[in-house]
Amino acid sequence: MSNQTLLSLDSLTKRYGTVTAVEDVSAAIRRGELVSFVGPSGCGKTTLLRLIGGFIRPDAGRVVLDGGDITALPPNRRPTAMVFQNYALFPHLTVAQNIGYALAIRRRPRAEIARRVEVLLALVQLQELGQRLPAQLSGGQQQRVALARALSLQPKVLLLDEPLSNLDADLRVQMRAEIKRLQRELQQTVVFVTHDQEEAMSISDRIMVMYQGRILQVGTPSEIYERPATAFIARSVGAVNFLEGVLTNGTPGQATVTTSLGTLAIRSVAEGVGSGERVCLVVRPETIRLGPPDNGMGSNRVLGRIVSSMYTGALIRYSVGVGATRLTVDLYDPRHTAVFREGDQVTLILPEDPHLLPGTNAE
Amino acid sequence: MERILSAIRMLAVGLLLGWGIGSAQAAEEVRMYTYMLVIQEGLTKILSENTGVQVKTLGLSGGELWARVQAEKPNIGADVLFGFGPGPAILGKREGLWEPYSDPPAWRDIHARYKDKDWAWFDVGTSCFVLVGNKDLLAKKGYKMPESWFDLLDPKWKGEIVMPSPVTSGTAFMINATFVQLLGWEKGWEFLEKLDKNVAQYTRSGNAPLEHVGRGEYMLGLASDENVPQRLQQGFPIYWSAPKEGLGYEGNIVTIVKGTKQLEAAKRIVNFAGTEKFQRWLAQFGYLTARDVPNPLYPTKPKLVNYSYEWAADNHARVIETWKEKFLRK
Amino acid sequence: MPTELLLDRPARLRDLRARVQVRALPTALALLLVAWLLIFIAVPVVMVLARSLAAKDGGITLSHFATFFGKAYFLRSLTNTLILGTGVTALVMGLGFALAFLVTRGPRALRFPLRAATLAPLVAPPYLFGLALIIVGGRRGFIAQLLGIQIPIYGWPGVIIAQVLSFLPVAFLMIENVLQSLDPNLEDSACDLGAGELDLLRTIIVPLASPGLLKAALLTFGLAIADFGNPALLGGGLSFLAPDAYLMITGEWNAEMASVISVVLLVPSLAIFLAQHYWLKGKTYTTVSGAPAASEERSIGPWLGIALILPCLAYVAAIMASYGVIILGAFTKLVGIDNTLTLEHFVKDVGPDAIWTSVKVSLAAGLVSAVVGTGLAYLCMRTEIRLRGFLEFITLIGFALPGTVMGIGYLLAFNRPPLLITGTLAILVLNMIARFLAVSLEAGVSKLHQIDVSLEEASADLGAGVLTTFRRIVLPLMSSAFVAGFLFTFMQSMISLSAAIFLVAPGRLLASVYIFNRARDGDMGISCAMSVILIASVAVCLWGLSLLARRTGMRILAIRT
Repeated sequence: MSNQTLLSLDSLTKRYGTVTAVEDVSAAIRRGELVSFVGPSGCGKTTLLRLIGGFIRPDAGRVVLDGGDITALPPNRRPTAMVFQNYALFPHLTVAQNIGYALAIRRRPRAEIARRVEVLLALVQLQELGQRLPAQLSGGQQQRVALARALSLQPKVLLLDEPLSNLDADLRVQMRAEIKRLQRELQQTVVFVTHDQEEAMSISDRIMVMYQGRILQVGTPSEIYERPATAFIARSVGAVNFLEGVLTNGTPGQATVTTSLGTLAIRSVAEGVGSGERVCLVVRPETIRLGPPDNGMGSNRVLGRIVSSMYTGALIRYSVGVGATRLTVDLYDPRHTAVFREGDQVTLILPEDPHLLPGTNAE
Repeated sequence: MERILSAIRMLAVGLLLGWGIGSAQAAEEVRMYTYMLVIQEGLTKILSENTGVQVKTLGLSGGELWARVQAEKPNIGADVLFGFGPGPAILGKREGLWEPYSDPPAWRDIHARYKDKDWAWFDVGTSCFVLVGNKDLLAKKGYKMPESWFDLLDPKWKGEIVMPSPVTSGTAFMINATFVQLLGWEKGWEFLEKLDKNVAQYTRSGNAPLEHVGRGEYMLGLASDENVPQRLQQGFPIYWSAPKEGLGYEGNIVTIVKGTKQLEAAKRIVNFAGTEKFQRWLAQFGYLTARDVPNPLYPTKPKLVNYSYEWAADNHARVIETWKEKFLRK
Repeated sequence: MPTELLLDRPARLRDLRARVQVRALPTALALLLVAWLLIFIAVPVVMVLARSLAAKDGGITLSHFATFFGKAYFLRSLTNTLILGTGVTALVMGLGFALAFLVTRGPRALRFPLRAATLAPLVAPPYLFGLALIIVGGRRGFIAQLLGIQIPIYGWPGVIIAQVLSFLPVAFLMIENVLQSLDPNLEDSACDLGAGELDLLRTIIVPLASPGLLKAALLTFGLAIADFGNPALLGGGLSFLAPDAYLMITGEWNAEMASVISVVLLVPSLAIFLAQHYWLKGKTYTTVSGAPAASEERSIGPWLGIALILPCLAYVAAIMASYGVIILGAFTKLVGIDNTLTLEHFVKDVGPDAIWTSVKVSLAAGLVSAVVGTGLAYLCMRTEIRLRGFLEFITLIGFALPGTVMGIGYLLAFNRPPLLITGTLAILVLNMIARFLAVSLEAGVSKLHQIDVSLEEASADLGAGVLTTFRRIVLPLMSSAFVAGFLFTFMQSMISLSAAIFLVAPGRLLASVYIFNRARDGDMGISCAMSVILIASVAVCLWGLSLLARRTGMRILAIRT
């Protein structure tokens, strides 16, 4: 995967009346990578995608592809291709005709179109379905046709607008893997838009978290998950506990944070937070261990009581009360770890290297 | 939505009330068919005002009027027929459709030829058909108004003549019957066939050609004289003339329909039709009225072609059928 | 609504119906209404058919039909009518598509004015443009005086122009609807894949819209061949079927030939209408995903833009000129000859009388139609009585039949005892109701689709009987359908001509007939003045109707003469 920037978004802004959909967004997308824009509805991700695709003109900023400014180009002249959320398959054309549409428009010879369509059908594993109409296909099959159609042009950038949100849960998981496989195989640059953070994390090379028209953080999935820049981001990529407290710097690599649960020792480095200032600890549920109640002595051990538990097969999610605070704790592989019931007293062992955020968890 | 519904509810109640009040034939309401289309509003007014009767008028051209009477008999939908042709009047008398009115006072001093000998019908005055032409269009081509009916056959008038159709128009019946009576059956139809080559269209009513010519849509027209005086006064750019062979004419007949429930009121109307007041009013429109009163269109009586009402009655259907046979074209 | 409830709907409807047993009152009501429909829709049609086959001695004969197909005159009339239909349809579809395209995808600033101008003819009697054409065209019309060119008005040009102007709004509405419901993503996608504007039109827009376009074309054809007013006014020497049928009756009382012409007119008219309603009903490619979003403006290249906008501007200019001319004619003494301003045309007696009669008739027809239609809809949708298909069909017949045929049918059916009602206002009202009931019925049905069954279930659960539930729960909720049916019937009754012209009598004159007759006699002043009043009253109604449609999302059937 080369590090060359293929697509560069420079200070893009788009307003609709008094509402700003995209505010001064800049990003660089590298050749061959799969980048996701993630965020809740209304955050501007689809607008951004459409700006890249050329369906909307920005009020300010530029879209630069492969060194050339394409901001003024209409969609039919941009080397981008989009897969729409509802697939937008032409209902009056067969699967083969759909896939071959772009080539037919360009007046390629029929034999060439047929060959290319064959290749693409094989790529998405729909070889026998060329003569079907879209209405005769299942959701997953339609999605693959849409994909094949977009790829027919060998676009420089493939744009996917929430392509999996109309599919059933297990199909979604399946298709995720398919898309990733294709992307790797073709070394295709992909911009992927979704509101599902788990989806984004599972396939992206990099994630760009968006909120209210701005990009909040850019990073690899693990960066986003383990080192979210804000509490909002932390919340949006998984369940999380926030512990507020005051930081006291000790020897390098050793600090304490005084929280409502007591004083915790941490090894994490807090950037930009000085001694005596407020911090917020980002503690993921799976990093807390539970044990039978002992007298809670020892570093980072507190006593608590199980308030509720939810068994979901691979894990049990407990809500544990420590004083007035509620902590979410996930215990994996319930067969081989101790299982607690509601009302049980437990000892919580908090991690020593939680991520630190300055300030409080208000966002 | 509630407001709209209650508004509609009120409307419904109001409607029912108004309907009930209005629908039963109001006391002294007389229903009238007339083919005096141009003056139907004025006619309704003058009749209503002078007889105290509420006259409701339906204007139908001659052919339509007779067809309707035929369709509706014996339950004809009018009480009075005020202004239709003598041919149908005589036919109707033969079928026993009219209620005789013996010796109405206002008609006593009117000449006998305007009254049916059995009091079945009354002729308020004759109207003619005339030749009209558009001043500007004629001037542009340097043409003069034809002096003889036969001048109309000249190919230079092709597509420039408009006249009414006898299927609907009483005036048109008059026109065709006139030429056939003037020239005899064979020669008459020959003339009409030659004339047809120059005719652009046949209109529904006898007045329409006047409007078309006045508007400059065609150069010449054969039209009823009913509206000519008014249009001249209003500034229509037309000439009108009576070619040398003479004008055709027909009486305008008034009858009371047999079986009417408003006999008294109907009689008042027929009577008023013979008064000096009404005749003077009618004369304004060029009718050669039964009473001798000043006539703005014809200061002296024009030359008229010999025309028999009896003949018209006897040959009514035959003339119309022949015309349709020959001319219902395109 | 949660999907689970929706899926359960048929089952719950069945339960509701089973609970609401077939009781005496609803059944009697239903039977009464059916009988009424049969008498006032089926009987007239049957009479026309019967008369066309009637022999003088009382038997059946095909001689009248033989006469029709044997005489060159009638065959020409038939050919003319078909040619008219085809020509007008082609022009209307082309123009309508251009207009609809601009309105749905053109610059936003243009959309409202273009749409308003296009829909303006809806409030006018369909022969209004014939009137305007007479005043404006011809040798001494305005255009000749101003520009020196003559627009021939009598004959093909006049009839075609007048019909195009009158029928375009209906086609436009249907085409606009189709273009609007095309998934914008499909066009985006095609663009994305490289399609230019012409490619887009050719490969995506027109193919996907084609069922809807076909529907619009069929409807326009049906309207054009059944039209009475324009061919009668402007035909000149040409003959067409509807005016011919009229002439047969009013000129000659030849009911047999009139019936034959009616049958010849009726067959294609009915076939087309039923085809476009039933056959094309489900066949759309459009998305069903709820309300379409406000469509983005699309960039339209210069050539396409000019090709689209020139005819549209010409059309709009023609419409505005027509209205302007009518207003002018209403307020001047002799428009074109003596242009002094006057109000004299408004005060003649017969005219306002006719308007008042029209108002009375239309109000009555509107009310009854709304009540009956709504009631029928409820009976169909919520009781055991399985009459919906039949009722829809028969009311649709009433709607689809050319007005001329309905008029003649009523004349034949009701001028003898036991139902001697010709010459009364009642026959006018009944005729209007029969012709426009379909709209109230459809509005009621579509509204009831939207109303959740559980509301009525709850009412029944709490002890209310069918009528009580209807009165207290359903009727208030259906009020928008009720009002829509009322307004539509009122509007159409005010301006419709082709049936009414057979049924008028002294003192029972309708404005549309009166205006038309005066126009044919050449009295433009009165025709224009009364038209102005007529249009004003109808405009108010249409405005109310569109407000309602927009607010409640109801679809209203296309509009007939």
